Amino acid sequence: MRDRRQSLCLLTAAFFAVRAGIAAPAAVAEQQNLVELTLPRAPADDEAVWLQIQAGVLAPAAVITVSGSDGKLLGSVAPYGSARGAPSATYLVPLPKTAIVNGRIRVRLTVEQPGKPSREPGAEEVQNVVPVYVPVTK
Amino acid sequence: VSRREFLATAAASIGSAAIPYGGATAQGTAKWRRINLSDPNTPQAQKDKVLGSYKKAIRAMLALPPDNALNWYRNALIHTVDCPHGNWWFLPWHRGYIGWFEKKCRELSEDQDFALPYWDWTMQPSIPLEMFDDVLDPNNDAFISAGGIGNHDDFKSKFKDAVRKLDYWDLEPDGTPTARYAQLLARGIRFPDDLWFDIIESPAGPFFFDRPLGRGLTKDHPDLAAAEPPPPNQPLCVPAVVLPRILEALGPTDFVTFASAKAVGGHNVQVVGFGVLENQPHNLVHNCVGGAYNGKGGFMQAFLSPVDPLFFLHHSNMDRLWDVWTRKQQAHKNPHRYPTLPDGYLNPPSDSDCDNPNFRPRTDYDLWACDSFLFFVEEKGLPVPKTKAGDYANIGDFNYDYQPGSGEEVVLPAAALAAAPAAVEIQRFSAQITAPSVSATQAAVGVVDIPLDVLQQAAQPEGRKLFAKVTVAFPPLGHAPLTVLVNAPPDATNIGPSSPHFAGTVAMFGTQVMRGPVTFTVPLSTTLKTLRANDLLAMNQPQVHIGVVSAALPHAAIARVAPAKVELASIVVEAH
Repeated sequence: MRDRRQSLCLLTAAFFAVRAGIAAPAAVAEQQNLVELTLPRAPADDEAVWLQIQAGVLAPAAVITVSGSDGKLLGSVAPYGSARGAPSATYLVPLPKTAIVNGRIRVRLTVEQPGKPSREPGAEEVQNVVPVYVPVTK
Repeated sequence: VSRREFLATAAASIGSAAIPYGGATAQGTAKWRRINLSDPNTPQAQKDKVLGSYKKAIRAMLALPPDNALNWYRNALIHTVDCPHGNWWFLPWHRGYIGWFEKKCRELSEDQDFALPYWDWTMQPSIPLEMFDDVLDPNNDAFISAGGIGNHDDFKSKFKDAVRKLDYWDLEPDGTPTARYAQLLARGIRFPDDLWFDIIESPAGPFFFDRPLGRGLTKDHPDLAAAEPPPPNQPLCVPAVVLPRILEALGPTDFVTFASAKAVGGHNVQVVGFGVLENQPHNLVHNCVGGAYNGKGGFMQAFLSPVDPLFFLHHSNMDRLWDVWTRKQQAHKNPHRYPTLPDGYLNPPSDSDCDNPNFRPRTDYDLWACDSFLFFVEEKGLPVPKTKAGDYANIGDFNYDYQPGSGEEVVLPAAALAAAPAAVEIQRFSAQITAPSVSATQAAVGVVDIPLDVLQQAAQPEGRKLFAKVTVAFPPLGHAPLTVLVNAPPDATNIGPSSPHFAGTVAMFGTQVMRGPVTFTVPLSTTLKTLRANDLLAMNQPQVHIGVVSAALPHAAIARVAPAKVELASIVVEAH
């Protein structure tokens, strides 16, 4: 039965079309769980910069926390129900303006799971991180 | 035909009809009002009355036999087999689900004034203590019990026959699955044992939680902050519901960013992407109340979550925030109206369009609205008459509104609206496609004429915003990213974000098994301004060349994907 569920995961086609403009990071530096992104341009007045994190299968009760370089929690990736077993899904995480310094974003991604030490995400757990420009009402 | 091919075909063949009914309900004019259980200013008598009726309805539904469609657990099983998460049908499906449930409660409580209350977790990041009283607590004796102890074996033994006899599993006379069965197959549920496997034995975690673990939080420890054990996860739940986070979730000016990601293939098929509203308050309240992080278990953490009566108060608040966002969008008229639904909603498909198997969606709204919701049950226990996502685009015939709660401040005051200038309608300009294919070395190109006055308005600091709606068809399993360029040199194939021609990168993620065009929205205003600043676009030049090329992103996972041939279907420039 486990095989049945795994094979069906392939049918849950991850098919993403974001309505906001996706900003291609001009440079990505990944050192352990530290992600550094360079914005190609400053956000417009009616835009916010959020992170779009593409996450894979997480262990039961595991979450991915996103924190700033000062250690402050900025958000999290917290699957619910069967999304925990999804092969791939994206999660939008808003960023405060203070998270952007000189056009650069530095965040730390950490896998937190009750009863286990915090650790950096594996390659399958965090598959991609990109900043996105989101038109917002102010 | 392999089972997998069969499932994909079945999923793709699900069709049908939809059209929004009614309009958005203005605050204060609805027949029913959903009250804020968390607001200390809500009169206690109101709270007592609505919860009294809720208890009466729950008790009646729990007492019904398993073969009655109004039975409490049967109602919860609708969510188990049909709920969408991580895609753009999340909000309308749950609006329909709790809307029909509300009607059942009205019927079974014999209280025609009944409307679901909501739990405003921003105002009160703690389970309302009333929800531990009597049958409002899933650990109450009225829930599944055998000898006073409820467990999954008891649940299965009581409901096994009723589930087996459901018409979910019916075939058409020609032996093909019914539309409803096809949706189950798309979800990987072939027969009742698959469903029981998910509920009880799934290695990803069970859906059924034996009493007394029906809820992860207790009356002595009802706070979301106490949902987790000490570090590491203690800090997560409350930050997901605080007002600044809710205001961020309400911020996006388009439906898909607000409401979770666009998907194709039907609501049962895909977990694609989560907007802030779904990822943060929705998921984390489910998980925290459901004890996902404190190891105690609880229905709210999985897809049998409607067994916990708190589910409906949680989703009532989610639906309220959708209503708040919709009214915020409607209120903003300066400099232009914001959309309230997926693109194309001002020209919705007809019922016959959606029912026509040969109908090709013209817009995102067509694709969204025509998806079929086939498992809802109305207050008499019969299938509902409204079976399309578009039927739940508005509150419509449910005819309720909400007592104001957290986040309401994003809706502009009426006085500000009256002072706002007249709305500017969106203008659209279609490009002529001069080169339709994108390959590793070849760009696709569309040429669009934009009136000079629109371009000049867009050049102003607070002027109109231009967007390119780029529709492309990816080949199966092809999901290499693409770059959108403006007035780029003909041989440009490797232009990056630092180029003045760069407008954006678009990408799809994961494994694509469904074929069909996908539309991406790329902002153009900044690029046009940059081109002018670099003397690459004259103010009196109305013709703009928009190119689509293969991107070379620095991320290794994407770079490994071999470029595949992509067809450019259309480019439409919108002036907002």
